Amino acid sequence: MIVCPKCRALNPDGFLFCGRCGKPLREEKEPGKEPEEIPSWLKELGEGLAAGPGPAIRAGGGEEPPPWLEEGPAEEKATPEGLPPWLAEEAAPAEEAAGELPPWLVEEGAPIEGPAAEEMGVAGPVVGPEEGAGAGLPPWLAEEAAPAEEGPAGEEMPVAGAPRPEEEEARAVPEEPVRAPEPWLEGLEEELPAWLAMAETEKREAEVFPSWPGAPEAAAERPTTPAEEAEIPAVTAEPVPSGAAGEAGLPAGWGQEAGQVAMEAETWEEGVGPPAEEAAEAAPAHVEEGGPGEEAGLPAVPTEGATPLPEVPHGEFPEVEVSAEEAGPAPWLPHVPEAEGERVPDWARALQPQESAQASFLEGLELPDWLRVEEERVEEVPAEPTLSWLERLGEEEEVKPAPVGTTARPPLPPLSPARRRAADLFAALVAAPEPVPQERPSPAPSLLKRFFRWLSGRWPGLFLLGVLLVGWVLPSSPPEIAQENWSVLERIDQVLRSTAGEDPPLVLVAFDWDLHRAGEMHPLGTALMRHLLRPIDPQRDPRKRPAVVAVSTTFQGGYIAQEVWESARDASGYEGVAYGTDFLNLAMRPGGESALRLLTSQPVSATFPVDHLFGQPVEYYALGKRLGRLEGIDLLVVMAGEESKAVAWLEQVRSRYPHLPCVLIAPAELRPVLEPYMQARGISPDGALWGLRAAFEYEDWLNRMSGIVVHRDLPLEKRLNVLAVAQLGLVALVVLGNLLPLGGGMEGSGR
Amino acid sequence: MVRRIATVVLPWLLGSVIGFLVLIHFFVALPELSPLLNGLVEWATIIAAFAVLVGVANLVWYHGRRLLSRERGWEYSLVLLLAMAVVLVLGLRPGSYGVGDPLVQWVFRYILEPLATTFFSLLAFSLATGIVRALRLRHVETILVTVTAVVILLGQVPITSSWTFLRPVARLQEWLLRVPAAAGMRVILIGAAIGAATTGMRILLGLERPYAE
Amino acid sequence: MDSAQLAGMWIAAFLTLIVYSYLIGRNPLFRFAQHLFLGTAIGYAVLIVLQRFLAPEAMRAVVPGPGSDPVSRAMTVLGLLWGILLFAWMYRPIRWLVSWPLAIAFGVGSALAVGGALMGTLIPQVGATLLPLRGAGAADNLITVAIVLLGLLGLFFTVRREGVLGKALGGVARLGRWSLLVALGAFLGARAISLLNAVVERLEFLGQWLGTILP
Repeated sequence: MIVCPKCRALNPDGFLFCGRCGKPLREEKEPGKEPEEIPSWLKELGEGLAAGPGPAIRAGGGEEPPPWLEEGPAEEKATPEGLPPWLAEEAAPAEEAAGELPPWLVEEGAPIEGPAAEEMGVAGPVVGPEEGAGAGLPPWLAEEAAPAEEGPAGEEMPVAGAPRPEEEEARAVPEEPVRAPEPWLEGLEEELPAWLAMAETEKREAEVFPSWPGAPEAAAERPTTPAEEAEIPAVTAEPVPSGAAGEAGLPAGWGQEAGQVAMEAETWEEGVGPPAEEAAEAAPAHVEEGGPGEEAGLPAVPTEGATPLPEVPHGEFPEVEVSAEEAGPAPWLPHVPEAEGERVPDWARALQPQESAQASFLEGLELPDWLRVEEERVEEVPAEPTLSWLERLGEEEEVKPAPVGTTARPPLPPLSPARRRAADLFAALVAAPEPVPQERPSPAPSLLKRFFRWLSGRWPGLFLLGVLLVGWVLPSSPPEIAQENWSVLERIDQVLRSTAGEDPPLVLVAFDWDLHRAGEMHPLGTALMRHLLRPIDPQRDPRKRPAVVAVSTTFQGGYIAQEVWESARDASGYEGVAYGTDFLNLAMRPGGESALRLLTSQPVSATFPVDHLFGQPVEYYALGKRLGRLEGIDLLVVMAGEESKAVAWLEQVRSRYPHLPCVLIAPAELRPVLEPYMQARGISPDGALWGLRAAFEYEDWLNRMSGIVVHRDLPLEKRLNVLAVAQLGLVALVVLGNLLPLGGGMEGSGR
Repeated sequence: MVRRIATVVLPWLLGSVIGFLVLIHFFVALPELSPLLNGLVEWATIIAAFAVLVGVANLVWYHGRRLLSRERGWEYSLVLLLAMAVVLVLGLRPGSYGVGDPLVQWVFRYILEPLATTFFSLLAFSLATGIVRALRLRHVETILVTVTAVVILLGQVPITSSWTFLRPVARLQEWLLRVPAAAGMRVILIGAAIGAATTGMRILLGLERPYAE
Repeated sequence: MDSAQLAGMWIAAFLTLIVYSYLIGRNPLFRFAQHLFLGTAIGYAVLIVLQRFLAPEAMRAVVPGPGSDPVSRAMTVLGLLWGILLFAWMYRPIRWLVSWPLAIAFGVGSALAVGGALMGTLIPQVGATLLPLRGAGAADNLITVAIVLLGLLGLFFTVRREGVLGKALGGVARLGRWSLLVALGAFLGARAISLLNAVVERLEFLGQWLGTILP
């Protein structure tokens, strides 16, 4: 028996954490153990690659091997690796928000989804965090935006996004109240690369819990100034007041919707519950409908009029303390591998995440994000989200789910002792009474006060809206045309003109963007189509114009291609432009990278065998008969709405056809991400057009060169003017955020 | 044991063999084997398509259950199922042009498109809140991110007669994008590529089996 | 503008306003819009997959067309069977069957990811970093090379900060990490511009709609 150092309760041997209070009983895992889980060949690989992992691995706990080198199901770690600790710190409060991110955001945010899943077609979900950090990098951005947002679509939140908020919270919420100024936060920042740290946090590195390795030294190395000290608690403690505020049911913040608050309150279970990978599954349950609280009917559902009690966190959630211990490290998670690590080969351990692996496959398979979410939820969502993780725990090994909602101990899986202990712990925690919110009769706050609360979290958004409206009202003036894109446009033109032979040049346009990108991509697409519709030499042959074939690997690409082409054709007024001779819409083939790979290794018509509009075989059309392999294409235009799509085209297609004239068209957002590709010879497109400014310039160029007027009333000019004001408005917000730390930050977040 | 072979060993062998064939084909042209090897890649796309259907079937099952048992929020399940059914009926009814049908296109243009773009644009407001909260000039890290973001925002302001003073910033942002930011991004891309390649190899070698039940 | 268009515009404007009502607070209409969006999007995806991919694929497998060889057709048939096997997912006792098609999908996906990452990203990116450090643009090249080296160091080389060397390396690695933050800052700025543009586009649409009702 082991005596708990904190509560003095007796615990069976082998328990990692006290069954009563949850405190760690001892430092179970030597830091040195971790490395053993890394196959030796991999270690070598790592050393070979970056001279880094070697020492890191040997050093053990203090320096984690880069996440991609680590063992274990990638789903676990695939969460917010991209998030620099400081940002995590900042974002943590708002974290629950991420749960509600709309898919495209999360897609960006969640490495799993974006780069990996989409691009690899299938292998996505397993791709390590680096992948996400790199290709996706937005992860941290997701946090960024998330904080606020609780975006529109709780429903749509993809699985991958899910673990983050929940886990973050599990980490942030319960822990802070208990011991606010955690040095490890600082330590992390000092010691580990940002993404690594995050990956770690998510993964709950085995030894993590008791002390973040390296943290003390880091702390020592950099003595925290009082200011810093004050800051850490302030930030990390944010969740607490918010919980309180949330209780009060006042819409004080973006993240403060009733449901979200409930979710926060709920995190203790979350924390206790799912180890990382299971969290991934559990998440949707909570996020579901965006308002977990509403749905789940949790006790924490706010009542209007209550006032925030500062002490709530402590008094209100006694379990938090317990969960806090569990939440951080998720003891059973590291423990299982550890216990079995010696006996069981790696690959066997890789099998562990059963349900989640299954779930993730769907996610990997090129599902649109929104679909993925739903689907996840479908499988994962038990009736009672509160206990969902428990149910699932039972399910993993047994078909029969543990009884939900009762305090009875669930049937233990006939697994390893480690697993058994974990289940024991779960049961013990479940048996504990749920936190019941106290009825707090309190005077309703005045209307004014409520209004300010409501405003405090929303003012940045409303400010932005105001700025936009002001920008709209202001008279617009023509933007300067930098002609920075002229070389690209002339390149397109030159390719079209220089094609020898009787046949008109063949242009393959990839419409790989979804509707939500229409704001930027539609004007670009329209300008491009107007360009391609123009007769190559109106004097000699007014009927000869480029033959355009559209393809797509997204569900919406076919519709978009058709719409853009038809509207451009109608606006152009050209006579005799015909579908099937001048334009053929072949969208779509699912499978992402796989589809693109097929495109490079067989005739286009074999990859995209029927047209979008009528479903006829390609050969049915005159243009289709001309279509051979990619070698026969004169110009490739890739319109990509997401980074993963653009990269897939470059990696799979461009790398094989480096001499095929190729132009990339993408939203302004992708410029920083894709810039390295633009600089890499052999794979870089011949040019790229980014966002609305390029669209405006394209229109202007068409007008100057060919007298084509794409838009008569210059909507893009107006838009650019409003955009300019809005961009300055955002900068103003940054300034305000720094000047009014309380107004926008702590209070605004409602935490 | 038999079950283990059926659920673990054989799928692994199948996946790895196919994976290695595709990988070899990636680097070496094998014209005579092309139909076969392309067929393998084609499998992946077909499986992806079926995965969509399975996912949707699950979704219908879930929302149908919610609807029938009148769980809280069942009204929304009804909306979802109805919307889905309407699109499918419009596309599959006799005489329909399918996805090219004018009615389907109408739904697409006037329902799906505004919703998609508006939901996406809503993120701008969350971003505003996030910016206020996160971009604080506190640590070196936050300062770096904040300053860069601000330079990009200012530098990409479309310059009209009112904003000519931003011209130097525009040049700075151009340089920032081309040199330091691109270099930083390159590091991330290299790291990501190594990660992707490693994970891919691990799956091919069977060290990781996300597919196993 | 015909009546269908006009009705569509009203509906679209109404939906836009519903979604923006979220700025005031979460409400049932907003959730209605969420589900409507999902429902239509999913319905459309199913339609596309069935009509424009799986049905033609099946046709192609069964009916020999011009230029289709027996091997390709057999492969397509097998592929469809693998796909159908995925439905085993729906029924627990046979759920294990799913691991077969999944293994294939993962195998192919991993192979393409490995190939793509090597040929499409790793080699070109490393190549693009081997820059001449003299001549025009030398300063920029130097900065680029330094950042990439430091960044990679920060990414992969984490050391215990003990001793002079450890601290020095730790400091260098930290410097490398900072360089990545510049990239992230750039991304944040660019993303903000894209998002703002999306709002502006929506406002423009609302303006058009108002134009149809205002004199």
